[in-house]
Amino acid sequence: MTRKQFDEVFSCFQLSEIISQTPSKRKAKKILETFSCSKNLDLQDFLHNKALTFEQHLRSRTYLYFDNETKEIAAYYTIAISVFFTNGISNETIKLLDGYKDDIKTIPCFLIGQLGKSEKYERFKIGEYMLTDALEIIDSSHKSLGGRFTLIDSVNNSKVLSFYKDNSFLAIEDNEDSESIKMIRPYFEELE
Amino acid sequence: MTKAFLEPLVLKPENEKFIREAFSKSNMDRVKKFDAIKRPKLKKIKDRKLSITDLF
Repeated sequence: MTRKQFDEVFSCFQLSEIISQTPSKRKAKKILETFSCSKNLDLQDFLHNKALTFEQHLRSRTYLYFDNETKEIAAYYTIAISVFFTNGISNETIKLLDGYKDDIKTIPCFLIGQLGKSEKYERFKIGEYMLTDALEIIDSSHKSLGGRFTLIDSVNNSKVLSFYKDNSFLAIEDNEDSESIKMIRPYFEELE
Repeated sequence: MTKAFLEPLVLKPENEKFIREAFSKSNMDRVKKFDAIKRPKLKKIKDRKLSITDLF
């Protein structure tokens, strides 16, 4: 699917827009429940049971892609600002992450906590477009606020990890038994 | 995953080498190449077709 086709088939809405226009929380929840992903229940459960509360309490922002025909949610991603804890890490590595201090305990970062599609759209290659949209929003915040890197907490699946690697992220963990793997995409401007 | 929102984001000391790699010159070149060549082709072209009221 080309980007043009993707834009023709899907419409993206921020969850906050839907909350502000929906008469009741029940209605908003019903819309979110049009998304299904039995292969990744964490992805499904987050949207069904947490995204609404997180949005209302300003913990994160969720962006939903609706199928223009069915009006069902085909895919979504959730982004937030977060902090990375440095306990146990060497001063040299802390300085790389922070860019200034080598003894700081937490480093702010942008987080892509969820990104995925409904099982009905499994064959649609749309992840790159969604990730690009998420990075555009994060870059806009980065331009205004600064920030050292974006972190993705990816499902520990070789296909998914390759997808993120092909799209400029790099794993910062290597654990076959872990449920997820953290990957980062640093900002490099000041290194030039 | 959901736990990224709920649990502290930490790194095991044995994985520090990956941080060094992420901030390396070779990775900088890789990211910049991605941003210059691949990323522009993935950016949004058209505005959404549906309006918010279409969803209710």
